[in-house]
Amino acid sequence: MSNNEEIHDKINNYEQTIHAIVGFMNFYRYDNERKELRNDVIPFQGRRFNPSQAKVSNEKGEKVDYVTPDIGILLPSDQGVIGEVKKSFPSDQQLWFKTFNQLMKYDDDLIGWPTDNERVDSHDIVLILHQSRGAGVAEFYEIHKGKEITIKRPFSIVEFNRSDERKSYYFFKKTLGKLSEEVVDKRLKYGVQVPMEVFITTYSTIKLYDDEPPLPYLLEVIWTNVVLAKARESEKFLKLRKNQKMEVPLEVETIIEELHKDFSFRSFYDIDSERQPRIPKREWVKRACDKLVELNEAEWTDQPKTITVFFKLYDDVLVHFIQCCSNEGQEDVQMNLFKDEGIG
Amino acid sequence: MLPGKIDFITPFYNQYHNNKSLVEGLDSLLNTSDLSVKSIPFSSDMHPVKLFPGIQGKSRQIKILKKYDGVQLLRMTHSYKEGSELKVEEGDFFILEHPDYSKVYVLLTIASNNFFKRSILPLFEGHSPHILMTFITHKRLKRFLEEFQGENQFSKLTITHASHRCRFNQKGKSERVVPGISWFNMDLNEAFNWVYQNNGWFQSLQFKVTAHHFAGAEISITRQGIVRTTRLFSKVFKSFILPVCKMIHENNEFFGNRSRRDNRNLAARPLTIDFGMDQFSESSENSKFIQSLRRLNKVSISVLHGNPYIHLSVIDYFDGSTFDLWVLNSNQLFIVPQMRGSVFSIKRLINHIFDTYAEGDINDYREESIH
Repeated sequence: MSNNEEIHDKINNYEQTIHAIVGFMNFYRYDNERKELRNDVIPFQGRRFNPSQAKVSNEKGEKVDYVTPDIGILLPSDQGVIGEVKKSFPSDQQLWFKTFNQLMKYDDDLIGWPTDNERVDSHDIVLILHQSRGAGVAEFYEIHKGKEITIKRPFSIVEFNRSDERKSYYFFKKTLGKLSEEVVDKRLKYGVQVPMEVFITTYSTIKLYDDEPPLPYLLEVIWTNVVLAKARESEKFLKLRKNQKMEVPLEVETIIEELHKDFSFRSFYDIDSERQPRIPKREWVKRACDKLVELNEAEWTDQPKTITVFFKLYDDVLVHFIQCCSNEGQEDVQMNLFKDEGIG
Repeated sequence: MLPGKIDFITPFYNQYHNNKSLVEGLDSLLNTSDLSVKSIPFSSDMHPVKLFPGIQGKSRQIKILKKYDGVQLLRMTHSYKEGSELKVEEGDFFILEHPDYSKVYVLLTIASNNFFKRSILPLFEGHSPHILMTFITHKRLKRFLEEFQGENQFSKLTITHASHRCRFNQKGKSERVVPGISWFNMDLNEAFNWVYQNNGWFQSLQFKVTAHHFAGAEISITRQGIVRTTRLFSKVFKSFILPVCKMIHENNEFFGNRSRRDNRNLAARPLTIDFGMDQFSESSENSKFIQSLRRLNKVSISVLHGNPYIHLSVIDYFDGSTFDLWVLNSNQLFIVPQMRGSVFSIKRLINHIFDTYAEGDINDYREESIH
């Protein structure tokens, strides 16, 4: 696999993880009888929970300040759901323990739920993974449960897969365990096809979650949604020609705030909380800015606070940044985009 | 003015005009002269009194001559070079405010065809997004013509001249869209069948009207809604210009407030184009579609996913609008305007898709219940 293809696969994985998070949350958020979103269910992504006294140290004896599961869902019954999404699993099974160690940290009286006392009565733990690993990981869990892996709270594995027939959809199916929420458990028992078109608005407004995206992807998101917006405030923007560039001064803080407000899971919850870190994280944006400087497409005016970007009109912003980050030809990138993924 | 000929034009210009008298006046003027009326229905956020003096430049000076109720008379002086010679031309035009639709106007002029083509049209085309024209789909264009014929009981509309585009599939190569001009002498159905059989569509049409009581009028209409006629102005106004104004108004309403920043909670308000057939049933169609989008000037098309589903991130450098485009089933395109998605830019994008890829019905996106 070429470097360009690898970058594209990483972007694809990143997007699919967001889609899986959105899709899974929706089984709880959507009232299937009333055909509307429930406002008594609170979903969140990347929220920081403090461990209980029993788990303030990890297996190496190091202090654990907080854990940040991919998915958190607070139900009106004061029950919760904690989910971790893994689009890809390594082939070396020994490394799978790392994921289960992470899940075992969630098997705790976590503090930080959006309730009055920041706790819930109990919560489920769900591992959401790609269908290609579903059976294998379930088998792995069965072999090691009660020995290396101990999860006392209700634990389930839900697999997902994107498929394409007349419509593109995600398929979700429970392969192990029982979800405490009966309705969701019943639906996932035999699998549910969720057409992607149902989530058009969500997919288009959530481009970042709390895992660092591939750099060319983040650069495209910053360029298209923040640099461009700032550039068009200038009268020069409308007159700019292809071979010209214009200086666009930007605060790093502005990049973070704009993307957090407009393109993260921020739209899922009403109130900002210290437990809910802003996405993108400052260090990701700093790395993206450093890359622009390295590419001579920007310069620091007051490092690491203010940067001046040299805005240009690219025909394909993403390909431009993939090319810049991989040093391979543009043609390879273009070809890869039409690679047939097959069905299932 | 030739000696002995009655001058109808000067009194026409000197006369007070409102919406009704202007249309009637132009209608009678055509009966007594060899003139033609050219019209451009358009939309602008600015009132013409502010708009036109604001967009004049070094080569075009625009003066407001008269301001009536809902009608303004303006004069443009346009200087341009033809070879080494500097030419200066002058022409007058009316701007009529649509009585019911705010921000919708019609330019009307009896100035020469040359002045219209050389001085007025480029001004309009060069000042988007301040001036927005429309786009008439092929289906609707045919309907306008049929209704015009039916309502006025004309025995025949003969297409005399047409500019068109036809798609050619070359073996092993990507599809080509070839422009062409034809001189027909076909009736409406014949001409539309011809273009359909040639896998194409009309960009503009010129036709003659025949009726037992009437000598004939030569009328032309473009996909942008620009209409020219040598006679029957009142009928043309009613059957073509007013419906185009309605389309512009409806588009303004429909495409307006699609920017996420205009909506509560920064919510997205997507649109769909329903092709009414399995447009994307073959995976090769994905690259055809993306290639056709890449032909739109001043855009960035980033392909986040190209096959089997399509997800594009689009920037319109004309005004900085951005969109996410998705193809997730075989017969629909989803357009999601991002923080800024102007009416101009949405129309530009859709017009381009209709013009170079395929036409479809535009609808509001509604979340389906699938859960």
